[in-house]
Amino acid sequence: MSNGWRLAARRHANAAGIAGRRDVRTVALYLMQRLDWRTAAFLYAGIVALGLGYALVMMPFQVSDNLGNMLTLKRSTLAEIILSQARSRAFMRPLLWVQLKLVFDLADGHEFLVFRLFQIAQLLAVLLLVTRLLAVKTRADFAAVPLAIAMVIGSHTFGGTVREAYPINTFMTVLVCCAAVVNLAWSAPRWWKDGLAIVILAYAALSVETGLLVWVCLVTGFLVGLRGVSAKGIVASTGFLLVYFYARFVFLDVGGPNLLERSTGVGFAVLDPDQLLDRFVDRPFVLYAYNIGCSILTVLFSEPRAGVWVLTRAMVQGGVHLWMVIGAMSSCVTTTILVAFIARRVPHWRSLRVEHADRMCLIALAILLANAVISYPYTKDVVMSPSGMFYGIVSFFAVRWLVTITWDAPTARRVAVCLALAIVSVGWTVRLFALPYAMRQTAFTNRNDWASVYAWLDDQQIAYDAPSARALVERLRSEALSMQVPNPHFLVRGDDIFDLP
Amino acid sequence: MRTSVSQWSLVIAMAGPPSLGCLVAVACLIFAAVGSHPLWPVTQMTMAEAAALRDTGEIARRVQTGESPNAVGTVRSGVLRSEVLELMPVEAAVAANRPDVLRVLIESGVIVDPDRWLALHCFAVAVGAKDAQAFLDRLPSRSIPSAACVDVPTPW
Repeated sequence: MSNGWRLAARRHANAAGIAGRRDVRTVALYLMQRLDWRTAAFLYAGIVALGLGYALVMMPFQVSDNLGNMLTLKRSTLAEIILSQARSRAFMRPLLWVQLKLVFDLADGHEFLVFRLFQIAQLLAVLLLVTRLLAVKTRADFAAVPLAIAMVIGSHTFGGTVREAYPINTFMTVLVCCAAVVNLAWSAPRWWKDGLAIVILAYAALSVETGLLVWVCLVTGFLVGLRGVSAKGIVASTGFLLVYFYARFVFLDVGGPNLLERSTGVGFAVLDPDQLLDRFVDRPFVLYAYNIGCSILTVLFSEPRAGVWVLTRAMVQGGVHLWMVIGAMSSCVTTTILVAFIARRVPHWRSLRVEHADRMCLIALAILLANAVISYPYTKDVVMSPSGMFYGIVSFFAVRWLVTITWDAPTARRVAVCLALAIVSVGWTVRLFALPYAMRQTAFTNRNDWASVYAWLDDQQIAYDAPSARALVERLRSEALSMQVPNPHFLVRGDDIFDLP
Repeated sequence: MRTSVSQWSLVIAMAGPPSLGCLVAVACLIFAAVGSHPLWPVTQMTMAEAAALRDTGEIARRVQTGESPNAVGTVRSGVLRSEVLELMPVEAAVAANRPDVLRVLIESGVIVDPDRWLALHCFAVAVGAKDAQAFLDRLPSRSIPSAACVDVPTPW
């Protein structure tokens, strides 16, 4: 806070303290004199996280991916789950199931509450860790924080980490781990940080494949000069990575996903595995290259979406919606500002004069490439969420730089930059509000799914004959149905403005 | 040095719109603390309205609390037609052409005997609800429809 405010607050607080007053104004002024811009940024991020958490608590569990997993957790012991993971093909996620089992057993009949609290804790952790990386010190820094948070949350790659849960969202887990290790690396070195970094890497990599990005964060962080994790820690992390690959591809022979695993977007449509096989069986690398390219472009320009050129298709075939234009424009202008910022910083990089913002840019670039490569078998927006998160972080530095260099520029230039910033901030604000709007729609769909859950279980051939399984299904169903959920018919329609899943 | 209007404009352009996110979050949390949810407005509706509006969750919730899925209920204007209607939930589901809602209603205890089947079938024909008609045709209780449903009364 400014010195004038601090002095006034201190005088008032001292006077009140002498008089023994403890009214709201006194307490508020007491807090203000101790509040700095960095703390204000954390408070801001925390409030936004809790706001999203409110929407999470109001949203019933989804049925698909969630109920089947919970029935597995109900009937299986921890040992059985780990053994089954050792025998799985294409995916190796033992720690995902371990954490699911631990949280499920801890929930002890309060699954919705406990898993939602877990999800909210992860959301809070991500936003606070991201805020720390913004390195807010001044009023000018703080002024850009709302936009940074909007760019992280409003990204189409982020939405899937909040709207869905299995019942833990592993993509959110990866965001927490990536942000955590970069924070760890950007801190004073301590002997225990090396061990913690390896634990985080193992936890992320054995929960979901994109968890390997934690290693990319660690190594890139070290290469750009962050020493919170020492060279020994980096070597040990790399050793873990090698053991992981040996275990996955040699010892357990889990392999990787192939063309038959998932549908994915190509051109203007989503192709199912059979169609993918027909088209790419003799040249899978064409599809892989396409997926990698699309993954990079979606983070930078919000087009394509999961491999489908949605806006382009709409422009060619008709049916352009406002949300498509808002997404593309806000991302294009932001990326332009980012490119201009990086272009200005490259000469500094060449002479090895890197600052915090430069380090974040380099880490973000490495994550973007690595994240895209990991997405080679199929494209899914939420898989690129780590890149989306770092895109928001580095865009903060780019926008702040733009405001700084324009502050004393001629008025005409200031007006032009003002317009560009307005496009960016309004666009990202609309995208920010799209998430809770989409969560309201998802809540309606989720509750409806519970109405016919028994038919779904029969269709999926998921067994629930055991009394304990039936009791679990009935309890979850009853809880979901009793939740108050708005019917979209009575809500203000925002389908044209908000990008809905 | 005083900040000029255009300098303030830079700050407002950058920070103004996204700050709404925090303000809305604060408002939601304050309202939630006193039990109000203005951004999560739940409109009370009858089971017939729920059927017309594809709200199978609301149907199942009401059945769970003991409400009969066979009871006639009011459907407010603007949902199916411009006037207020009195319909059974199955009729509302047919009018809205929702076979998924029909399935949930039947699972919730609605009995579709041959007479009711005929009435629903003719209603589906009258309103052009092809999906609902196809669903009804697959039910075991289907009866042979009369030549043109002429003598079968339908809601409209």
